[in-house]
Amino acid sequence: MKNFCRKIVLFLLPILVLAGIYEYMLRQIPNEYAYKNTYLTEHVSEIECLVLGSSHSFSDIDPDYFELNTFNAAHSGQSWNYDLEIIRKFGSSLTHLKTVILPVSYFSFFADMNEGSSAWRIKYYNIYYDMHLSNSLVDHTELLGGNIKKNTLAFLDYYLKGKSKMNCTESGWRNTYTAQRSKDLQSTGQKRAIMHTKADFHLQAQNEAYLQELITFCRQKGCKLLLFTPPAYRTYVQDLNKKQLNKTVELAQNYARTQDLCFYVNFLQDPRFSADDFYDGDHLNDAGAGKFSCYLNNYVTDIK
Amino acid sequence: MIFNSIEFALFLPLVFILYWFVFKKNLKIQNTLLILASYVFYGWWDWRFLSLIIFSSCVDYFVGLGLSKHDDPGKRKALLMASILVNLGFLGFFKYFNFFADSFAQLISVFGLQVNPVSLKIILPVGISFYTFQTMSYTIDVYKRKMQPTGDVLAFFAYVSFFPQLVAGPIERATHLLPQFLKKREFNYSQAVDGLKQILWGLFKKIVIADNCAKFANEIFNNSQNMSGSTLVLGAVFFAFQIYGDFSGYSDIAIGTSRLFGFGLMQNFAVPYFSRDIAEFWRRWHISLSSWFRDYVYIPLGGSRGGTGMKIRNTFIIFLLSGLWHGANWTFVCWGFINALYFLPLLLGGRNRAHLGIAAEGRTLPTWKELGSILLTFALTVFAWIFFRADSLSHAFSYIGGIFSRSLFTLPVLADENRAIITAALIVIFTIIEWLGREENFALAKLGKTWKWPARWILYYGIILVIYFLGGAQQEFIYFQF
Repeated sequence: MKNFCRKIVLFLLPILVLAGIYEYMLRQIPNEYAYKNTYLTEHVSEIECLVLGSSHSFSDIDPDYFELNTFNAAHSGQSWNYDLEIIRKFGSSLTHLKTVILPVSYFSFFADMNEGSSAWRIKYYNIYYDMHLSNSLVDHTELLGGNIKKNTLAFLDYYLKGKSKMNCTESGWRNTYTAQRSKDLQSTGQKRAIMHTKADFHLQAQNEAYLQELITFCRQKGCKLLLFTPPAYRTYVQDLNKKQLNKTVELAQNYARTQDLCFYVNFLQDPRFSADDFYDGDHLNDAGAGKFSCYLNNYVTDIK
Repeated sequence: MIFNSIEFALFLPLVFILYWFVFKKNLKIQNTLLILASYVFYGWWDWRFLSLIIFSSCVDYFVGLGLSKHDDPGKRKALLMASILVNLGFLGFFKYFNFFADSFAQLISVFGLQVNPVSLKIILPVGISFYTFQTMSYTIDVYKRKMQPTGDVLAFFAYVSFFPQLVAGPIERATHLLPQFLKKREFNYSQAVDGLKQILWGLFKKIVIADNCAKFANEIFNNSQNMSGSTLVLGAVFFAFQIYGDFSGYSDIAIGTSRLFGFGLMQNFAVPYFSRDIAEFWRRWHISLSSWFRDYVYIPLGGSRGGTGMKIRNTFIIFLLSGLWHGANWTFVCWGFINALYFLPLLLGGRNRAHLGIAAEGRTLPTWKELGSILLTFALTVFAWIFFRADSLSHAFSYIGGIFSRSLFTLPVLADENRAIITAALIVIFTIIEWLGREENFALAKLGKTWKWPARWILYYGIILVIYFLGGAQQEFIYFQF
C-alpha cells in the first residue's frame, strides 16, 4: 500500500511540477486582460469616458478619436454582468467619469457569457482582474480553464517567436482587425447571425437588472450612459431574427426614453458604412473603427 | 460529479486515503464511508434525488428481509411485486410519463379526438435507469432463492449506491457485488495498478475519442439537411465512436476506480466493434444490461425454447425494451426494433452462437472473411445508431434519405477539416490499440506490461499529454441521460 502511494506520488510529481511551471509561464504572456486591469488600476481616476461591452466595442471603438480621456475596457464575449463587475471593481475610483458607452448588440439582452461558447473566458477575469467570479478551481487556472489549443499556440508564439497575446492599443482598442486581413463578409455575416440568435429570451430579465444597476451607478456618478447598436454588414443584418432584433431596439429605446441620463443610437443599418469598413459580418476593421469612433465622439460631445 | 473533473480528481484520493489508511480495520465503518462518499458523489449533481435512491434502497432491503421470513408463495410474490412496482414506478414516472402522455394523445388524435396531455416538467434523476435495475436484481435473486438476503443494512446501502458504478453502470448483480461488501477487502498492489491504468484508458476513450467525435457528430446531425451523403455517413461513423468511447470509457473508469477499493466489477464492453455478427455484438456491447434483460426477462419468457413464434416474440420484446430503456423517444424503440431484425435471422437459423471467441484469436491479423464480417457488422451497427442519435423518427429517415443520394459519392465537407483528420488518425490509433489488446479486459492491460518501468511511465505520460492537448471540448456522458 505504502509502495503504491509512494509510486503514485513519484509518478505525479513531474506532472504537477511541469503543470505549475506551464501555468506560471502562461500567466506571464502579456494579454489584454492583464493590461487593461493594470491600466485601470493606475489611471482609473483620469478616465472621463469608459467604453464597456463585447467585441463589438473592443474592435469598433478607438478611444484615440475621442476628445474626452477615454479608455476601452471591452473584451470579446463580455456580457453585461461582466461589464458590471468591472464597474463594481473600479467604480468608486472613477472620479472624473462623464460618460459610459455600452453596446446594445442584437444578443445583449438575451445572452450571458457564462452560458455561451465564451464561458471559458471567465478565467481571465479571475486571474488577471483578480475577481473571484466562480468557485470552480478550473476557472482560476489557465491550464484547465478551457481553450487548451489557444493556450498552446500562445505559449509557442510567445516563447519561441516572441509574439504576445496583446492585441490592443494603449487605450484598449483591438488593433488587429485590419482592412488587409478582412474576412469573407458573406459567410461570416450569416454564420454569426445564426450564432447570435437565441432560442428564447429567458435571460432578458437578468440582463435588464444588470443594465438597471449600471444606470443607477451612472446616476450616482452624475454621468451619462450612451447605449448604441453597432454597425453590421448586410449579410449579418439580413439573417437576424426580426423578433429578437425588434425587441432589442424597442428595449433600448425605452431606456433612453424613460431614463434621463440614458441615450441610444442605432447604427445597425447606417448607410455611412460600406463593405470596405468591415473586418467580418459584424465587426469593423481599423478604417471603419476610425470612422465610427468619430461619429460616437460627436454624440458623446453632444450629450455631455 | 463527473469522472473527468477536478472535483473528482480531489474526491477520489481523499476517499481512497480515508478508506485504506483510516477506516481499513473496521468493515462497517469502511462501508459507511463508501455510502457517504457515494451520496456526496451523487448529491453533487442534485442532492434532492438522494431521497429516491435512499427510499429505493430501504424498500428493497426490507423486501429482501421479508422474503427470507415468508415461504408462502403468494406473500413472496407480493413482496417482489412491491419492489418491482416501486422501482419501475420511479423509473416510469421520471423517465416515461411525458412520453406516454404525448404518445397517447397522438394516438387518440388519429381517431379524430383531441386530448390535451398533462405535461410535467420532470427532471430525470441521473442514474435512475441503472440503480433501479441493480436493486431489482437483488430482490429478484432473493425471490428465486439464488441468494440469501442480507441483514447488513450498511453493506446493502453501499451495494446500491456504490459511487463508481452508480450513475452509468455496469449494472451489477447482487450475487456478484453484494458479497464483496460483506467481506473484508485487502489492498492488492497489482489490482490497484491495473485499476489506475484502466482509469487512464477510460479517460482517453472519453476525452480524446468520444469528445472529439462528438464535435463532428453534433455538427453533422444538427445540420443534416445541409450535408452531403458522404458527410452524413461520416457523421454516423463519428457518432458510433463517440458513443463507444463515451460509454465504454465511463465503464473503464468505473471498473478501474472500483479496483482501487478492492472491488471487482463485471466487464461491460468487450471490443464490440470487432464482432463478426450482430449476436456477437450484443454479447460484447453493454454486457451488464443485455445480460440483465436476458436473465430477468428473456429467459423467464421462455427464451429460445419453444416454437419460432415464441422466439420471435421474445426477441422483439427484449430489443424493444432495451431500446425503450435508453430513452423516452420512438427513435430508441426503432433502434431496438432494427437490432431485433438483425438478430432474428441468426437466432432462427441457429447461428447466434457461431462466434463465441474473439476475432483472430491467437493471431495478429484477421482472415479476409473475418474482416469482411467485422466491417459488415460495424456497418449495420452504424446504420442503427442513426436512429439512436436522431432527434426524431422523421430526422432519422431524412438523414438516411440524405445518405442515399448522389452526394454520397462526393468528398465530405466539414467546417474544421484539420481537426477531423486528427480525430480520424486518433480513431485509427485507438482501433489498433484496441485490436492488439482485444483478448484482455481492457486494451491498455497488455500494452507495455513487459516493458521496464521507465518505458511504461513514458507511455502513461504520453497518454496523459495526448488527453490534455488533443482532448475534445468537454461533453456530458451520453449515458447520463438514460
